[in-house]
Amino acid sequence: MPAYLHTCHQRRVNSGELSRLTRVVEAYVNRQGEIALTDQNERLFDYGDQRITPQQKVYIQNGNRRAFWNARKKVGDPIASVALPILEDAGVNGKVANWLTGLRSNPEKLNALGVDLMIEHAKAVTIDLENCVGNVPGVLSPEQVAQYHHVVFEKHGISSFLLGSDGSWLFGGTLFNLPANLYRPVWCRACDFIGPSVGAR
Amino acid sequence: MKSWKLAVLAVSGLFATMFVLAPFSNADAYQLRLGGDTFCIPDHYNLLDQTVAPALDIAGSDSLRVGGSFQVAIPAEEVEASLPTYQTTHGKLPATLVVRLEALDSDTIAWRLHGERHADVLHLLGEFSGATVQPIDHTGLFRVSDYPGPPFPIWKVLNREPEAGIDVPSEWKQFLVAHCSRAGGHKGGSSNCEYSEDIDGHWTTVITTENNLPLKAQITQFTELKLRQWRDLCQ
Repeated sequence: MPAYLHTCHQRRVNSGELSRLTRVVEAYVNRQGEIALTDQNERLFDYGDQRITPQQKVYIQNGNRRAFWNARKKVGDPIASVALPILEDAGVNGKVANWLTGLRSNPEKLNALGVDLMIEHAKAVTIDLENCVGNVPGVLSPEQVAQYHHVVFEKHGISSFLLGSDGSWLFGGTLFNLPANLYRPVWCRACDFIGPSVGAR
Repeated sequence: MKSWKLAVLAVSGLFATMFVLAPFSNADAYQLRLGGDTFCIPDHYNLLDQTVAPALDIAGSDSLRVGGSFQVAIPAEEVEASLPTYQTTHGKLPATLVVRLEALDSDTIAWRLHGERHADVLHLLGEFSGATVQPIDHTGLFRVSDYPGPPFPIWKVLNREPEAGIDVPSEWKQFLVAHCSRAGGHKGGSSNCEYSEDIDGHWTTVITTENNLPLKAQITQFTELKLRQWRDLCQ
């Protein structure tokens, strides 16, 4: 089996659900003939074990965002590079992201938001692994990251003070409700591909 | 950033704007295509996000023409109007019902629902060999978590007490009620609990709060009816 296949992919190949496209092309198709898996992510980026480790679980329980995101950066979680500048309120992206929440003057609420996002990220990674999603189980796509952000923003009542509208368009990478995947080359090149025709050559 | 990337981004943005704004052309409702279905969702609902199936199959894109996903927030008060025992808050946060639909092939849906894939939490094996089990008072439900706690930051809710060697039902929804997470900050008293079902051929994820999980069957039925209403509105 090619090296880019994870254990859960191998099970799906063995069960006949996925089959190799051709001997030459590094891709697998599902029974509908749609490309469901390619080597695109593994070929271009280095990923470590994406499972949430016991140490990361302690960081989450303690609300320690800095330690958690630094640990995730070490295993090649592409969202860590987005989260850390926001946590540090550093750089243009970090400062703008915090500013857009409207909570910059309220560090306690901003931190509460950040803790909830950290927890939802860990849950999304775990479910992604359980469901063997995409080319790299445990690595999220821009769309998946946007989804949990929007749930958290909705629960916290984050709205757009800029346009006086609801905050549904807020999230780095999905500004103005444009598709999250559109921004892949800007902020998340190492994010996973999901869905049919994933990473087709 | 290289100029060609900026150019691609700008052109893509124009096309994406067309795709995204098309559903909003109806002043009263969002019209969303998902797989072979079209949903007309009244615009008083908060459409959190959507991935639109593109007009063309583009190599490297994340969705086929018949693919896509969307996520809608339904106010807790609306759920309560149909289910009077639905609690509209958990802790200090609202118990908003979030419904997420994704177009997936039937094989993947069947594989995801398979009970054996969650056997470890039922048997307290593997990652759950050192898990903590905590009954949820007055519900008959159990929290199971491999995180420090209680209270846990992330946990699963089961409708039976885990036990080594018991038979694993064919679908995990027969024993695993939801995947839950703490909400409201570091010591927050709220929750986000999600579970997924095959509803009319779509992979449907429902997000509610732990204190509403005893109403799961009714919540699922409410969601099914709401989705059918939104499909019927298009006709």
